[in-house]
Amino acid sequence: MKKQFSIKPVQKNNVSAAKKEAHNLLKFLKPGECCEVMPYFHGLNRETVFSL
Amino acid sequence: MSSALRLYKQELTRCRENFEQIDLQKERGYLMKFTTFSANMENIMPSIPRGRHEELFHELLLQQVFTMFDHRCFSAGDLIKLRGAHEWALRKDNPRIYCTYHFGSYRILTSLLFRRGLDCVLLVGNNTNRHQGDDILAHIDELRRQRNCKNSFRIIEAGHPSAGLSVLRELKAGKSLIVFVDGSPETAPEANETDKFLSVKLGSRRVWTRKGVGYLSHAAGVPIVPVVTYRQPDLSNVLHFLDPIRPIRNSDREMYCQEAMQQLYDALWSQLNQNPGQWEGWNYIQSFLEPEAPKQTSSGKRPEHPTFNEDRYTLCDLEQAPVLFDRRLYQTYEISEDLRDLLLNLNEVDSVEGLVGEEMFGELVEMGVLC
Repeated sequence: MKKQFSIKPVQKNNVSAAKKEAHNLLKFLKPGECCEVMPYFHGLNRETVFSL
Repeated sequence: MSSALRLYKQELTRCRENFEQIDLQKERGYLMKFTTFSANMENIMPSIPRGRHEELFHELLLQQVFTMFDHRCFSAGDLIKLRGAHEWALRKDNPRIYCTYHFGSYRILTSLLFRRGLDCVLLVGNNTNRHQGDDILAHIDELRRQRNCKNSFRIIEAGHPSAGLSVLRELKAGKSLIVFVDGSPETAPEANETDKFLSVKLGSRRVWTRKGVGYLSHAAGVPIVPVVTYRQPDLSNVLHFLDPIRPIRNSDREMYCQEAMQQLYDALWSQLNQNPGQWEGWNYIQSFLEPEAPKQTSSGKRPEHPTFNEDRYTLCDLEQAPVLFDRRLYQTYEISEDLRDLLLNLNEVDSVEGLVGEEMFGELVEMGVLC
């Protein structure tokens, strides 16, 4: 099969893999979104403000 | 060591142990976030070799976990160490403009100032207020309840049309202002806002910064107090109060703004040299970078034995799709799988130009992908 060589800049508002990945940044390491461990960090699953 | 301090360090150690269990590279978004971090660090602080970037990125992520913990842990504010001109800076005699950075456990300054009885106004971006405003107010309310603090606290959204006027009024009424001078992704310059920004040097590059703080200091005759928060290797938080920057009455306002903002960024640079893995700005400073004059990327000659320009470009797979990232111009390109494979194995090909065709070869040389 003939090889395909292409390159195109990712434009704003373009639905692409890179764009989707960039959207994930907002969720990165946020409890309950992508990272299963984070909510269980000691302290983060307690009340809003606490004292030791 | 007090029992609170011992408990605090125990909790943070537990946070670190949990953090170390995460396979970060499997987290969605990791690759783009790390690549942006690494490009920013390389462009501003080239003295740090690329080989150290990932370790520093992980350090920053851990610092962010600690910062989140500190914001909820009431005791964290009792355990901080104060350095520099803190006795003068924390007096309640006159208002001050506390300028700080997204460095270390950066929310702890607000907590300290409120605990010390200062009437404060916190200036934040609209999105920050929407996402974090309730948490900040919950922290302040709890301080009021537990410590019987009677002083005032207010958040003003920087994006509001009357924000400048409101802050000026508060300063004249004797309240102090807390500002994050290194900006946030939402406060980056827009095309129609150039008059609100000035350019300052940060490491190897120049960045745009809002001049509102300098303007407010000059207009209200209120000194700027630079404050850096950082975490020591023993996990304790330090708040370092630097020498104040005082406006001179009847001096040139624009010149004062330039001088004051440059001093604030010099303080940031000094701290970056000591703790490069504690600044959140590495994740978004590209939005504030002053564009560089275009460099000649190729001599116009087509290389006989082309190599992939790893200094400038990073190859990665996003959602199983290959992507090329220009670390200098922060442009992402989607490329075909065949092109990705070729760039990874250039030395196995007799004639790159013959394989990709004259036009594509010329484009890759022109872009500096091949050199």
